[in-house]
Amino acid sequence: MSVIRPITEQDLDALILMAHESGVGFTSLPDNPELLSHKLERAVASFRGELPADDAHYMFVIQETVDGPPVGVCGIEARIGQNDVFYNYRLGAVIQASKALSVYRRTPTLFLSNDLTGATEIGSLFLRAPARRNRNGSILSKCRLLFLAAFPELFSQRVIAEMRGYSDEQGQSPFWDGLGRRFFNIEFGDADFLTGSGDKVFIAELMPKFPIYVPMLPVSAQEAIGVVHPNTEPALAMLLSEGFRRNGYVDIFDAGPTIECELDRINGVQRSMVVTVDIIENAHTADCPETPPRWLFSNDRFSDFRVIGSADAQCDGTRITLRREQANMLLVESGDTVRIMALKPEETKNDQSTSD
Amino acid sequence: MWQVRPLGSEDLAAVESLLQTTTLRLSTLPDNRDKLAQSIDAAQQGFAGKDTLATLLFGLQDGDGRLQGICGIQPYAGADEPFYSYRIDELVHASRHLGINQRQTVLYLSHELTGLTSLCSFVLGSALKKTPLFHLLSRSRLLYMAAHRYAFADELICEIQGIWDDNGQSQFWKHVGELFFGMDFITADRQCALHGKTVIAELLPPYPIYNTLLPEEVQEVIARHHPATQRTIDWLQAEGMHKTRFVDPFDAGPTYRGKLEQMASMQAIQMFNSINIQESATEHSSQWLLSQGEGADFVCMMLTGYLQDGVFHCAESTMLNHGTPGLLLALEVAE
Repeated sequence: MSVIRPITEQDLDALILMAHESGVGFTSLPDNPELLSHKLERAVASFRGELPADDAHYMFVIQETVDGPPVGVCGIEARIGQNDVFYNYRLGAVIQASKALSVYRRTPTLFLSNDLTGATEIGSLFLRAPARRNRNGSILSKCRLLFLAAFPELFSQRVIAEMRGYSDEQGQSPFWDGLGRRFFNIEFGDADFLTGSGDKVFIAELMPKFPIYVPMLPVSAQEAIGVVHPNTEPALAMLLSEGFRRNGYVDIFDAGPTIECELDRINGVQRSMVVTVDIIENAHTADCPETPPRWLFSNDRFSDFRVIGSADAQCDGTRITLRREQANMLLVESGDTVRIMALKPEETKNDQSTSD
Repeated sequence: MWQVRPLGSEDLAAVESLLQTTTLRLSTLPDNRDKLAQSIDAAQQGFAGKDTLATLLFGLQDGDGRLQGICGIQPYAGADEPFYSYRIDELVHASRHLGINQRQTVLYLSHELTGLTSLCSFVLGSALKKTPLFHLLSRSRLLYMAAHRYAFADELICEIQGIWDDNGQSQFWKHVGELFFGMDFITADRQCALHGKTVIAELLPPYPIYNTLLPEEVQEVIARHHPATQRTIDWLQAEGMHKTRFVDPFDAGPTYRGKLEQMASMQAIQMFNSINIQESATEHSSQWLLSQGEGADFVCMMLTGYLQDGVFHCAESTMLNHGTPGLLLALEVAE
């Protein structure tokens, strides 16, 4: 059964490997050991509480077994744009109207903005290909919702996720080719690396500051606005099911959409609940490896945060019975509290209907 | 004898047929009889001093009294409304950190030229353009301004037609204005004639345009003049006007600008006290532009003669009044 924990210094090699595998378009994991090392240090310091809460960046890793290697990573940026400038395009409109001329024209327009500064961002999710099974992707993504639910005071009510924008099989982004590239002639992959490398601000500062009239872009670029990369569609669908919605902002490089939800209104936060632990020793392992997890359990610890998946939940609404193995993974004993959450919003309904 | 004089309502039909022969776009001379009649009426109000904002329209008439050309002066560009241009400017997108430094050309919508005096509405057949009649028609306006200096701004502008294709379409319009109007250049041009240029310009995109986002062939036509306007450009430059960073918001044709007092012709205009018509030319004779009269009575013609002690001695029999004063401009100035 998979377990998720805060990243530690020992995970650097695994992180480097995953960054290398993640490829172009994955700005939060630049394929650069030095930069990753900085990122890792910051995350470790965040979990130690050594950084101001607003500067924290929490990174989590998933392992398929208790002592297995990390096979995936995800993160939460407490407040974006605190130490640098966070840029987005807001997709708005310019209306030109004249009664005398019978003209009424709505021109979609991209406005450069820093509007999302201060929001909490969930991102940096990457799962190695062999580990893309047993709902590990869902578990990894949704562990962040449990962390948000457990420590809402550390985060903004405004929670966003930037979805990777469309690029073709060759890694070419039509939006980049139609806009960014006209302003400095580098390949999307290079621009992307620079952005992930912490140079995003520098690149952003080279981008046009005045609004961009969408019809002035090549049709291929226009069509890419707000469109996610095919590989990101499942992630988008999942976050939409958790209550996230498109908020009209897109990435300045690949025009991938930003989605947003108020922390308290995130479905996973709402459907999670805190219950007290009972432990049964010597229980048979009910989960065979093929049984997909339908529940997530997390402890209530900050530095030693843990999340595990579980095929079932023996819970009466106030107490939960965990097997010893599960309790060990969660670092809890009888009488401690854990937070539980159905993995998918619809499974909560099913469970409720069956338990009624 | 050829002469330039204010247009009157009796010229309406002749103006209309003359406009049929030109391919130039003239928003001050709409291709619409009622609007044209209104423009001529307004001009007459202007000549009469009753409307200081009206565009003044002049006609070039041949010896048989036929209208062969038109020119105009808009005393205050935009009149009582904003006058729209795009200003070509540069922004440097630079990053010390990334070692990148790129100039970006940007078009800003501008009202800066509002209120300057605009030379406009120039219509002359291509055959006549090559003759000295070009100067009679173009420069008659300077003589008018010299005689009515108070009615004009200190600076002149002249908007030059931009590049159009053989179908009368402007690539610049197609990639800028049309995106916001949904109408092609010819239709927009017609709307300009009907509603005035400002009404249309107000619908132009309010934010700056990055040239780099325009197709290359469009970038290339910005601030380029139509070949048919070459004669006018040569003249404006000889007069001392210079090409500005301002372009027309419709076809991106260039705008020329200069101080009225510094125009070569303005500096060369002389007053004479009296005209003396004599039978034959002398060795002192040369070609002159001569104007007399104010407002609606203004007339300008090209004559051979010489100036001596404030008296203009003219070889030709003219309809000018013997013994009356006027303004003179030697034709070789700014040739």
